[in-house]
Amino acid sequence: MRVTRPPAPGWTLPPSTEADGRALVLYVDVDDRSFADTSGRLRAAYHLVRAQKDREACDAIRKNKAHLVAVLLDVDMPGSVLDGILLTRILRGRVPKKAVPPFARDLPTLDVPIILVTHRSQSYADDDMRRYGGDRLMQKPVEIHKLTLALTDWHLQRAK
Amino acid sequence: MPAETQADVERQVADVARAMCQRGAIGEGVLLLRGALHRDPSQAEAEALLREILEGSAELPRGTMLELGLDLVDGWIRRGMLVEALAILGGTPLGSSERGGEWANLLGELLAPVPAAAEPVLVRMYEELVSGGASVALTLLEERARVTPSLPAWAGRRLGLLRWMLLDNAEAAPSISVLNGELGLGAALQTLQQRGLDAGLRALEVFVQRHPERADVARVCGATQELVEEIGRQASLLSKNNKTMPMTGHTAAMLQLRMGNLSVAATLYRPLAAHDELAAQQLRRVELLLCAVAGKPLPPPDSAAEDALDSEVTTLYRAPSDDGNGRATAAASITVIPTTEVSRPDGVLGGPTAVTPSAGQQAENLARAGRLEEAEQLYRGLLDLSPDDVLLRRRVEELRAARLGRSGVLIRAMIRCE
Repeated sequence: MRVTRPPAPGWTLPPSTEADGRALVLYVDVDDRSFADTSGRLRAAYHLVRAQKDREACDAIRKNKAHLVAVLLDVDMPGSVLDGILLTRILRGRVPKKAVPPFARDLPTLDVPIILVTHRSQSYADDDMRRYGGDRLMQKPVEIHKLTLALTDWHLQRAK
Repeated sequence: MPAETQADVERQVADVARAMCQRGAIGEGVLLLRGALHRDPSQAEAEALLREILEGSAELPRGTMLELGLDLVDGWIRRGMLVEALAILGGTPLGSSERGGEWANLLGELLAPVPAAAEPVLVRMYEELVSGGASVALTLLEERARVTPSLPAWAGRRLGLLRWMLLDNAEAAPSISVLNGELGLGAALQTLQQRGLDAGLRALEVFVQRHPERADVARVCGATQELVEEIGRQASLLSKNNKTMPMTGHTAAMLQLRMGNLSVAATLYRPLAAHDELAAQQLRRVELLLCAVAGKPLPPPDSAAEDALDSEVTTLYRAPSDDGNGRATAAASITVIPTTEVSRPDGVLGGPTAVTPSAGQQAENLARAGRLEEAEQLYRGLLDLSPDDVLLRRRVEELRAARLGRSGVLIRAMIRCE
């Protein structure tokens, strides 16, 4: 059966920097190009707030916690004390307070999806990411349908 | 092959999930099943398959794999099965094709979570989208778009996407001539047809609330509500613990109604309607809904045959006139929705009970036919509705004893008759 449809409606995408009420996602990555790529792919439905390193990420989480729908963390986070996996464990409350660096000690635990992102997804196992508290591992740059699939899955599991 | 009925759709969902797992897209297959179950929790096959996949015990078909194409995805999108459609696109090479990739991105946009501080109606819109209620979501957005302040840009975009996905029309939606009605009504009736009575009732209530002048729609909404309430009253008879699937009678018709198969339910009610008032009432309600979803004119209210519940309704029904462009002018009619309770007639066992005669008669017919377990189950259901009814309780015990052979009287009588 040949599928016939008229062309999909076009529209003017909002600028990446404009907070116009789209769902807010924190993206933690030192790589500018990766951020620009992902932000471009997601901006039809998501507004990305950027943090480059661990301290900035912790500040962004404290400031935006009530509005975040997801966090995308680079696995490696070069130049930071915490990598993506450790920061995930801290955000899920799985690290004893005395082992947490001072700048991350009063971080709220997060109850939104945490997705770890990397250029080398074949080097990590999805199950390992889940064991650390992450919800998914994704290849950079993140595609909008992949992110929405992950967030929908998270929502459906909690709606049960 | 396009799915024709709800049962076809359920089977198709399970087959596609198996095919995706067979291809290695287990995560997407699981999400597909979760989405299907969120839309309709009664899908036993999907539930069982999901459990098996999560336990690692699912048997996946070998040999030729099910063909998955964009026509399947398109069909599911038009049915409002957006989560399932996105799962296929995300988990198969279809999402990498030019058109499939475009659709994947559009669905990714449409199903994205709403902002944390979104208005309640937009939160509800999102909930409807992820639970198969795309038509209801479209109705909600259409209605919200008519009031101030105007929709946020991202919500306006979703409205355009929904019009395109469900109606092939991204611009102002064309009128759908159902009850000489409008897009919101068409979407609500589509929900009734595709997602069953509960979801259809919610959609119709939204429309009626915003269009109180539409007595015809209120009538359809009222009939739907009556059907839903009757299913609720008979809920224990429809429990999944029934070992046999009745093929005739009230219970069979109720099961079909619960599954959203209006025309099959009507077929089952017709032979009962001649001698059973409840069946006649149910048939009238079902036929009203069938007219509505088919876009046919509604039968005029029959004051002699209308439900007892409507006896206090004052309805001035005038068929909406056409403005020459196929669009209805508002019907000038007033409807008073009755709120009084109507006591049920006495049951067959004597004395005022909440038992409907038809159910009790059916149970006795089953017992006379030697189908003691079914008769006992039917009476147990009636006893759940009237737990203080001593006569009902005694009858349940008699049937149980007869079934287990303790009394011997009924069994010996049956043997003598052979």
